[in-house]
Amino acid sequence: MSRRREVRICHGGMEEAEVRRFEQFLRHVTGFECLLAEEPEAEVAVIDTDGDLGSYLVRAHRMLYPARPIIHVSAQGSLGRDALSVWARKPVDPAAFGEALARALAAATPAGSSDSLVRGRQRRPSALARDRNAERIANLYVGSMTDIDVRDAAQRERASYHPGNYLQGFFESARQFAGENGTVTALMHRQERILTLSADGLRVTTSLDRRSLRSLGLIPLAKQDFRIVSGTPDPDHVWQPASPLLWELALWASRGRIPAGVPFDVPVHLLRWPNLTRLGLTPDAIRIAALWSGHPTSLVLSARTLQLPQRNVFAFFSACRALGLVRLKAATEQAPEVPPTAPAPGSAGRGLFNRILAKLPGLHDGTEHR
Amino acid sequence: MSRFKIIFSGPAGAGKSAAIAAISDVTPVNALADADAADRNRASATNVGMEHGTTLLSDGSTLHLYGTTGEEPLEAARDTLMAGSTGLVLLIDGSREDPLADLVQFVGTFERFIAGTGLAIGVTHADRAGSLPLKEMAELLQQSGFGTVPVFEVDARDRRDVSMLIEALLNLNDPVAQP
Repeated sequence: MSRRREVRICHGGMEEAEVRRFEQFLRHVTGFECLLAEEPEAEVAVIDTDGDLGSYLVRAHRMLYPARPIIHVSAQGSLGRDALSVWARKPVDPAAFGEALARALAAATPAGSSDSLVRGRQRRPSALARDRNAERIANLYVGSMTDIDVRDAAQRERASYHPGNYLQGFFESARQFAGENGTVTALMHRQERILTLSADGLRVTTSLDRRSLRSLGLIPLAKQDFRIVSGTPDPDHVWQPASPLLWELALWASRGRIPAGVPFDVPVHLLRWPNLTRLGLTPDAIRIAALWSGHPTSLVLSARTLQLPQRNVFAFFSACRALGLVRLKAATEQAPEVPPTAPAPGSAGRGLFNRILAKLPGLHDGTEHR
Repeated sequence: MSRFKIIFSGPAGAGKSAAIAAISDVTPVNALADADAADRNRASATNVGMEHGTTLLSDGSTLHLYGTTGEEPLEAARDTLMAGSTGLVLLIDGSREDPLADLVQFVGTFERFIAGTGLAIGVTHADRAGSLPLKEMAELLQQSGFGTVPVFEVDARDRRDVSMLIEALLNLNDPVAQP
């Protein structure tokens, strides 16, 4: 009797009860030993695309894992037209799913699955030592954009984004609406309430699971599908502080870019430190915050001074800006920028710094919000 | 081998002992007696006086972690403790009646020391406090001339939280240093 091939599968667009049923179903798939895996470890994604958010889930997954095959489970047909999209028609039986899985695996490139996360990215030697989790989080929060030449308008455009096109912008509009009207405010996607903000805009509830929320946060949204309305508190969900969500929405939308219109060469002053122990920690956030709190420095010079990829600086800036934690120095305040200087190599202070940081637990690689 | 030190301070029950224990390689030593009865209901292992823990760095040198309430009977003793320190981690119990007043008191106690080194604030006991005045504390410090000080919510038992405070403190001293 031949041994069935093991395949790691992740899912999207399923409610909790559906996931449990899906897990049961996977035990019976013809020809494969299917294991439900965490998203970064999966070889194949299975997404129920019949839901309202199906197209967003597929697009976001494709953005994060461009080389991973996706099985679109749907009664209506596949949303994807690329070679890595495979359709499994509902209702799916174990044999049909096994066939879809075989087609999906055949379509995958040899270097597929989670390795695609880092493809194309400039990697520093220190990054090689990072664990996979850190890679995943860095990719989610800062993306993989290479450094730009800010003298080039096209490259500046590439490193900019419009928050209003993303869930970040819808959230900010809803918060503004709540503030202006003094009412609990709901953000609706078609007929479904996806976010509810308290009247003071400081607390939020959501009906979405984290993965769906992230999918919506990552990609530009179709404005006609969303509306902001006065609402009532959502009794099925618990209020949470709004800031951590807005912070992440800004990071997901930014992915290493800055809001359009923000100059790259104007010194950034940190008004307050973000509460980094309770927010998604982006790579090098503490170093950047420390620099800006003591020595306002432009985005480009910050990256150069700290010897960081620009995307790390841009992402951190975008999140800080969303929470109102940074200020760009006005033209009248500006003097020619002088880069902060590093202490001489081998100096006592620098040596101590390195030795202590080496002892602290993994803070340099970014940590996902808990 | 070299010796380095970081000072932890704050009101009784704010989590100094727990923070030092979270980082220390050895069980921290409590130099003085138990807190009085009034403080005992705030934390089961609260101590006054000085606590001490250590962690060995990669080159064999030692980082010393000292916890103090800042109530040393002699100012000279405090100066001795502070001499050569890398900075101050101030832990404020967010569930106390007036955390901002505690902050003012402790920053005042260590003002001279902070000016020469650095300061990071950890606000503890969020579970009992409801909301924490992180923004108010940061603004107060800014207005008092301490600059943009890192103020984080922390669980003093959590090594990651305490490490982040220390990392912020060290980076403030030297943001351009390469980790």
